[in-house]
Amino acid sequence: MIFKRPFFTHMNKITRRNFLKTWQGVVGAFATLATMPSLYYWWWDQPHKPKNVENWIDLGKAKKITENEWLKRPISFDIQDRWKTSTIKEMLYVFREGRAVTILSSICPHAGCLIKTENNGFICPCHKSFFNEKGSVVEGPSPRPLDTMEWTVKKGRLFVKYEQFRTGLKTKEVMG
Amino acid sequence: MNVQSIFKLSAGISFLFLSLMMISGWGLSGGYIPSDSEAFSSILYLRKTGGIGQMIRSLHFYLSSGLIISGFIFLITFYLLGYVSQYVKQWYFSLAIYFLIIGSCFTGYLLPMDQNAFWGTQVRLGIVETIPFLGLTIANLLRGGLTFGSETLSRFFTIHGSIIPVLLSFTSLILIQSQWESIKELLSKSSIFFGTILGIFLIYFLTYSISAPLELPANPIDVEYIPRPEWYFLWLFEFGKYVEWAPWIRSALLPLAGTLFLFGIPFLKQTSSKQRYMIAAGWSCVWLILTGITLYADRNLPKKLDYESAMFIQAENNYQSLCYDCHGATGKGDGPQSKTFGLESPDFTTMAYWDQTSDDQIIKAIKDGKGKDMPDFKKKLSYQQIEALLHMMKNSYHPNY
Repeated sequence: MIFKRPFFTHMNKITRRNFLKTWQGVVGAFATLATMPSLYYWWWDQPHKPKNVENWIDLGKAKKITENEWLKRPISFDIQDRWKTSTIKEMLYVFREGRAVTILSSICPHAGCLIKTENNGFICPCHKSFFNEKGSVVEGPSPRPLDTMEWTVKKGRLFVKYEQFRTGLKTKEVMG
Repeated sequence: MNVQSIFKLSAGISFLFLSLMMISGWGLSGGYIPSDSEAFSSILYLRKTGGIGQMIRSLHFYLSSGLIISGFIFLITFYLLGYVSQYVKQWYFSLAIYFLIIGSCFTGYLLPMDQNAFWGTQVRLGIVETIPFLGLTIANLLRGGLTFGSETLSRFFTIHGSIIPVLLSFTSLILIQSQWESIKELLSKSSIFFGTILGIFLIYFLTYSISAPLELPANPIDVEYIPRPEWYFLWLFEFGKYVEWAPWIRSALLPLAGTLFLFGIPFLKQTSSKQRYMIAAGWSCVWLILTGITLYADRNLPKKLDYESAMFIQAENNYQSLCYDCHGATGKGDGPQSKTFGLESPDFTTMAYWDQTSDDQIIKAIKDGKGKDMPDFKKKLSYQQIEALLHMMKNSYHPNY
C-alpha cells in the first residue's frame, strides 16, 4: 500500500521532548500571527500631524508686544488623534525690536526640556545648556541653537507658523 | 551569610515583590482611567482619601524600586556563583524578566500624569528618538504620533497594565517550573513560610504609613519645571553628558553592548571565581561613581515639591495677585482698593470671622462671588485651587489654627 508508512508515523512516539518542541512551534506561530494585526493597528494612521500647522497662529497685535524684551507667549492648536481632537499647548519666546521679530521655540533642541530666561539669555535646567539672547549655544550639550519660527505681520497682527523640530540633532529637522 | 544564600534570598524576595506588584496593580487599575483629564484626578483622589487605596499605590511605587534592587542582586549573584554557563536557559529567562521590569518602570512612570511623570517621559522619549534608524519609529509607536497626544497615555497604560504583565507571567512561570524541585524544597521550610507572611505584613505596615509622591498635574508649558531621572537611570544620564557629541552612543550603542554582553556571558570563556568578582566589582564601581557624580552635581537643585506644598505656594501667589487689592497683604482687609473705595472686606485674622463663616461659605464666595464687590473666580481658579486657597488662608491668617 501507498500509505503503508504515512509521514506522521513518528507522531506515534509522542515523547515529552517531541511534544514540547511541537508546542513551541505552534505557540510561536500563533504569537506572531496574533500580534501582527494589533501591531499594525497601533502603527496604522501614523504618525499624526498637528492639524493646523499650515495655518498661521495669531499672536496678537504686533505693536502691543513690548520691545527689547523676551516675552513668553502661550499658543494652542488642535491635533487629531483618530476620533479625538485634542488641544496642544506650547510656549513661545517672542522678542521685538522695531519691525524685526524673533520667535523661539521653548523646547530645548537637546532633549526636549523647556528652556527659561536667565540674565539676558536662556538656560535649559535639565542638562545645563546656556544660550545667549540670540539663541546660540554658549555652553552645554545642546547640539544646535534654539529653533526659530517663521513669522509674518498681517494687518498689524503678528502670526507665527508653528513647527516642532526633532531633538538631539545638529540640524533643524521638522518632525514628520 | 554566603553568596549562595544571598542568591536564594534575592530570588525569593524578587518573586514575592513581583507578585505583590502584579496584585497591587490590579487593585490600582480598578480605580484608574487612562485619559488626559481623568488620570491625575484619580490618583489625587487616592492620595486625598488615604487608607487602603493610598497604601496600594505606595506599595506599588516603592516596591518597584525594591524589585529593581532585589532583581539586580539576584542577577549579580547568579553571575558571581558561576551558574550562568550551567543554567543558560534560566539565565536568559531571568534577564528577560529583568528587562520587562525595566520596561514596566518606563511605562508606569507616566501613569499618574503629574509634572514629574509627564516631563520624565518627554525626556526619555527624546532619548529614544536618538536611536539611529529605529528610534523615531519606536517613539512614534509608543506615543501614538509625533507629539504627546491623547493616545499616549492609553498606550502606556496598555503596555504597563496588560502586555508586560502577561509576558512576565509566562516567563516567570517557566522559570519557576524549571526550578520547581528546589523551590519546593525551600517552600517546605516553615521559616520561609512564616518569613514571607511576616514580610508581607511589614510591607503593608510600612507602605500604609508613607505615601508615594505626587506633584502638580502635568503642565506642558510650565518652563520653571526641572525634570530629573529616577535614581537607577542617573548613571545613564551622567554618562550621556560625556558623549553629547554622539547621542546614539547613550541611546543605542551602550544599551545594545550591555544586552549583548549579558546574553553572551554563557558563551564567553570560562572565568575563575576571582575574575568574576573583579568584573562585577568594576562595573559596580563605575555605576557608583557615575551616580555619585550626578548626585553631587545636583546637590543644589531645588527639592521637588509634592502636590500639597506646591498648591500652597500657588495659593499664596494667587492670593497676592487676585485677592491682595481688596483683602490686603496680611488678610486684614486693608488692601489699596478697599481703602480708596471704602469697601467692606472682612478681617481674616480675627476669630470672629472664622466663627461666623464655614468652609463651604468661603469656597462658595470665591467661586461665585459675594455681594456686589467680591467678583467670582470660577473661571480663573479650579476647584482644587480654591480649596488650596482656603487651606492657605487658614494656615496664614486663622488665629488658632
